[in-house]
Amino acid sequence: MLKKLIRIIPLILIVLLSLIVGTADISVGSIVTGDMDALFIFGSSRIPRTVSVFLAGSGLALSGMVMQTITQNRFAAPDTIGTVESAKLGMVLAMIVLPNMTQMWEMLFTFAFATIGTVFFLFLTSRFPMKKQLLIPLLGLMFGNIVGGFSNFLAFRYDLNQNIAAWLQGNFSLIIQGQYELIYFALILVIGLYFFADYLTVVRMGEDAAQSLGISFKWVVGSASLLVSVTVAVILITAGSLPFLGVIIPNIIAMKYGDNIKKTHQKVALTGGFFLLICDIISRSLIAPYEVPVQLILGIIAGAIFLYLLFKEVRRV
Amino acid sequence: MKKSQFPFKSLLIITVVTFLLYLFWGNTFAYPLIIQLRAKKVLIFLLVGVSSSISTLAFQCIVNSRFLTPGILGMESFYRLIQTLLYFFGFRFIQTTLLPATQFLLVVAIMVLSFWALSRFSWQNISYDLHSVLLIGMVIGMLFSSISTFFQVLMDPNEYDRLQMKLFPTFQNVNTLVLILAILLVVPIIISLWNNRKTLEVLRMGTEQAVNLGIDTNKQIKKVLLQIVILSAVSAALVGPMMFLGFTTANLAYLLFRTYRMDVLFLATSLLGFIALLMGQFMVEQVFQFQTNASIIIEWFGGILFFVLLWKERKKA
Repeated sequence: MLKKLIRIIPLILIVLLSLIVGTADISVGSIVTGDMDALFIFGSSRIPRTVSVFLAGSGLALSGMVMQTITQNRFAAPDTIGTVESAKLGMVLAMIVLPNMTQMWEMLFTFAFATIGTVFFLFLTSRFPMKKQLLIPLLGLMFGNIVGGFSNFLAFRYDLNQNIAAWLQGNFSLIIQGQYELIYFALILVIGLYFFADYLTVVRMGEDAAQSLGISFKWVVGSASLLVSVTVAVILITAGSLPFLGVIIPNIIAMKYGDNIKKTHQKVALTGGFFLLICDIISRSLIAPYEVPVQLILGIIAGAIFLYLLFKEVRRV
Repeated sequence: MKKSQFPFKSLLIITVVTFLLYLFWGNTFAYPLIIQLRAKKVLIFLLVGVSSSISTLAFQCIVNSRFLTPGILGMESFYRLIQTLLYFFGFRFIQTTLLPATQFLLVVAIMVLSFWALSRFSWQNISYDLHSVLLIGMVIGMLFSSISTFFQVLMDPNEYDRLQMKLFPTFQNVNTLVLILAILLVVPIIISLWNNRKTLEVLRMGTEQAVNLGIDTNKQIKKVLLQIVILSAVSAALVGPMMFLGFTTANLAYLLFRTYRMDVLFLATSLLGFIALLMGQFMVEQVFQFQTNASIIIEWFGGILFFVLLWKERKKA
């Protein structure tokens, strides 16, 4: 009990810090005493931000975990098997075809392309020899580059490039009440995983093992990709692209707690959420009152961790 | 060898025909000037076509995979980063006043030196964990592109438009002195790779085989990789980043000649690279009236080829 408490305290502190840090000064006192201004900023900006950062972090970490399971490859993640790039293509197309659409349409386009891209890539590589662990992410990168090339070209033709760059840059500074609620869709993945975890654990063992236990491999892989695509699309629309998170968090957790998804998916979700929250707090306080996009901070911190994991892998061989 | 005679002859004929077609087709007024301009472009095509084809070929030998290109080393994102930073920090004096030749050398030098520094500090025995090295390149590439995005978003839109010109490959406006410098850099490397072709053939068989046959794989791979980096840096600095040109020509050469003899492949890919650029530019000038860009046609073709080959590989497995 005491151990659990000690573990929870830093997490609570992080959440509190995320709620307090910001341009407008809000002390804990002014909230307790019910200062209206403070409460307003709190409700319309601070809470949405904290919630969306947390959900984006845990959503991406879980997506990475699911992808690593269904590809049986530890380096698979939304940004290494082309899901993010495909989603981007959908977003660019949506901007060209329906310039004045609502967020819902945008999401549908983005989601549709993310799904098509992911399933297509998984389908293409599903029979590839598994011994080449690092080939899949490299192929995914090539795939992502091709898809990205298409969207770059379209954006270039329609003069949307800077616009899209701005949109995709992982950044939570525009998140206020009324603009972030879409991210609750990321909860679908969390809930889905509760029902799914067992199936995924079986799928990890391979198609034959799944078959012999009477589980349809294709069905599980298909629906898992759907769930992941919704999550990635939603995060991309509300927050932009957040690199590396999907690779590193599940790997760190798997190193410590093993591969039993049913036991680890909560840990993956929590770690992803808190990790992104920490990055976000850093990005807000580094050059306060301005802020650095969280993508940059995440890129540097998570990139360093990823490199460390890779070097470790190198040494192990 | 007998089998490969046939496509060689036709390849040579196609080369000559496209060459003449490109040089002499179209407007006959102001002929000398037009031919002079086109002749310079032909030289650029030859240089870029040959160097990117051969560097891809050599790269595919050392990584044992026909699906990868030197593009995944992250050189392109590095090129993008350098250009973005130059524009962002208003180093336009470099772009305008500094000689284009100095500029070119600067970009090539920065790219090559950083690769060299990275290779010095990050891996001891490259031949055992080549895939990890590639993945490290990929991570660094992703990091670079998020830094570029950050600066591109902050950039003044006019400045951004100018930057765009640098980020998409074009064959117009190449300075003559730069061209000469590029030739001086590229030709020795191509000769060296040609002389080294037997070693490359052995490296293609895999590290263990190569070691058994008495090759210092570590040294050889490092050397070839550095040569590849210089070639890609030169062609990126000359016309802009092109990812799939080499991929397309190398794979077409495998398909046409069905051999792994390096001398055949070397010549074939070079010719194909040259033809591809000539035809691409011919179509751009005569058919599309400059509405599109030769590199985009080639990149799309290469992208589709990538999927076709993955599909075939899947069926084989």
